[in-house]
Amino acid sequence: MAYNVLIVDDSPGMRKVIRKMLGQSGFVTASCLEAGDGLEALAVLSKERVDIVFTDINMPNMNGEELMEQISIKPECKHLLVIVVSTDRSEERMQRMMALGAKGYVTKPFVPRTLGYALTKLTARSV
Amino acid sequence: MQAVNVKPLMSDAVAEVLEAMCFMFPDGETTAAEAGYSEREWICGELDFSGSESGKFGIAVPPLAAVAIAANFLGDDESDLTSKQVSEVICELTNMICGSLLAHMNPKNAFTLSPPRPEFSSTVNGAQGERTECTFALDEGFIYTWLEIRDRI
Repeated sequence: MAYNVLIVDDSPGMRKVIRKMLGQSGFVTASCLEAGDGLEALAVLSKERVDIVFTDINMPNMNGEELMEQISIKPECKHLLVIVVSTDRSEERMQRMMALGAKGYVTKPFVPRTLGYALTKLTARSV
Repeated sequence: MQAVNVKPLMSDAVAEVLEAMCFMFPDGETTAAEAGYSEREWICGELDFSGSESGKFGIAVPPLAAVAIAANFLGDDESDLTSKQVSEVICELTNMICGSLLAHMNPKNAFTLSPPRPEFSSTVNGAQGERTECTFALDEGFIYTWLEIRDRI
């Protein structure tokens, strides 16, 4: 199955790295969209079909936690699988994001296989 | 936390990020003066952080090292990179190294990082809190890191 992916991070370089690693991991994407913050992400989600969201936490305008809160209350976003990709590896933050509905959590820095493994785990559970 | 305890954590954070994201391996401490670069040429990133501690963090690298880091990070040829891309990568590295450092300092507590900016608060005398600095040698030059802690809860 090919997935529609949205990468949300205020760093263009990090978005490029995640996009490349998705390709290298063998994960099949039908489309790979990008957003620079939570507000842009919501705009994309309102217009495009997305299955999986990778989101950073610390971003301007709307951060990843606020984005998760918005996603959790929108019925049209109920199907989304969200993986957090963040420098924050504290238990406090991880628990908060999982409580908001995140299905995976990858801490930066990461090696390519970490992203691939998180995706495999996520998509196996969703089948 | 005393300044003397932060330096090994800085070393760990720099090594962790550069090895994982850039396949580069810092080679011990050095000084920028030894490496022979003028501060005006450095490519910099800095940000503010808050949580159980608040303050500022930054990194600076000479131009050749910055281009090498950015090329490795993005998986592109050095000749294909723009100065904007190089600066953005250094800012993202600032974000990741700071995140790793704060996680080593306080594993349980969440923190908030401001978006990194391509600036450099270099003046030790102008520091608004306790400041720790450390420079690590790279094949292509060095990476200078600094941490200023203003408040602790």
